[in-house]
Amino acid sequence: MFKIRDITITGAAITREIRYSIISLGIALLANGYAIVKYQAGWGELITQLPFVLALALVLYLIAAALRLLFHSLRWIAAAAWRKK
Amino acid sequence: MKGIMTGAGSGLMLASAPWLKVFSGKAAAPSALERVRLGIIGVGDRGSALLQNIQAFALPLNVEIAAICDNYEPNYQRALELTAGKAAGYRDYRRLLERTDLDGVVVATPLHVHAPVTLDALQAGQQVFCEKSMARTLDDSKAMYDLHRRTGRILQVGHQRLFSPIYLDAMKKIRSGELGQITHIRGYWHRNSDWRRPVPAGRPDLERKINWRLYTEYSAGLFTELMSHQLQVASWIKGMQPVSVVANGGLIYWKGKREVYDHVAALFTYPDDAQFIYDSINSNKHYGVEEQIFGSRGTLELEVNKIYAETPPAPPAIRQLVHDLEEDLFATIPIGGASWVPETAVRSEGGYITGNYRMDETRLQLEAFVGYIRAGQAPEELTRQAYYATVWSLLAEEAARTGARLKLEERYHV
Repeated sequence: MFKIRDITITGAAITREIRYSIISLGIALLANGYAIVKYQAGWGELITQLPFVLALALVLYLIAAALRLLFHSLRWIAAAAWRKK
Repeated sequence: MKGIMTGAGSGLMLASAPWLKVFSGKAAAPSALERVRLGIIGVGDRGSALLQNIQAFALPLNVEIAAICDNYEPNYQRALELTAGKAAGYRDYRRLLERTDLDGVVVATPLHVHAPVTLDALQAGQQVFCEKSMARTLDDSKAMYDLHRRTGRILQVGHQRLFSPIYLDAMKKIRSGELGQITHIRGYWHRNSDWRRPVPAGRPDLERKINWRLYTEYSAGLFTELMSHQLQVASWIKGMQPVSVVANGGLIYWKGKREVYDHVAALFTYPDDAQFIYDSINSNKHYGVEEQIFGSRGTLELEVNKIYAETPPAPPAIRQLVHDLEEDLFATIPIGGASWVPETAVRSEGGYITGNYRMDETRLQLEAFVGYIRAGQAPEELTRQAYYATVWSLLAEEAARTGARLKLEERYHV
């Protein structure tokens, strides 16, 4: 039988993810404001489109997470290849 | 009943539908209302449906179905059962009309019998509700209208869309200018059936009696049984009557099983050159029934309670931004080929004409009839619209038969 390793989620890791979430939300909110100006919509959409903005922030966060995962995976592979040498 | 007059704009409602005035007063307690006694002549499919609608409001509106009449025994027996034997039964409508205690009669016989029964009822001093269309011939229709005017008795005809909250709210929007200029109306009624009712085994003599709608002696088929409803709506919306009609008809699919056409098409022209284009078929039901009202600023689909702005409102800005980014990133790059993009239908969900759609217009028109009986009169516009819907439907049948473009002779104008 396989044994699942214990994983420790550090405070630093949580803080990092919160930072990324805030950045994603900030970008989504700025995009909403930019769109309102560009398409001459009403400023009420800052509030009425919050659900869509939150969904957009989630998508941005997931894209960033995927890119970070890819980056760290490539770095790990490179380090493993170097160690073998 | 009161709900039909809710909301601001009831003045506008009354302007486009003065027959609703009967609903604008304060509802009285049943005991305060003088009892209205009705007789129903013709209790087949439609007649028994009307009977049950009347029963639904009989108690609160103090209405009694005092008599029923039918010369087809199964219908006669069914009607007596529906009234739990409380209504007196007649097999000859003339015996029913001899009663002096009735306040009104409902006529739901086959079309070719509408005229003799209604004329006799008006002569007997009855207030009359007659199912649509008015009569089988132009002369009979005119005779009914003229006698109604001469006697001053009510003649209400069963065009229930005149009482539908959807159609009434649509009329408010049209009259307010929200749809712009109404330039074109299209109607259709598509079914996939032979339109037959079962005939008892071993009784071929009942074929024409039961399936009267299929024989030209008794009915104009799709023109009078279906189109007249939608033609009435089109003329009501335009606020005018057609000036001419061309039509075509064919027996294409249900050959050998009927005399009336099973596929018809008609084109009515109005004084302002707007057109009402109509078709009705019996071999495909995909598109069902609809009246499409095309205005310069919007479109209505009345049977499904939908309204569409000609220029749909723009989506929220953030969604437009995301959409534009997606287009920029993922749109294919055309390499040669046609650059023309076809003008396909506008894909907009639109909105609802009214949220007040649960009221049954068949019941509302019968409630109104009771109200008119109590008032002693009904708005003339009701009868006039029904008359013109009938005569123009009959003209369409003749146009299909002759291939001619027909106008209504002056002697039939009212």
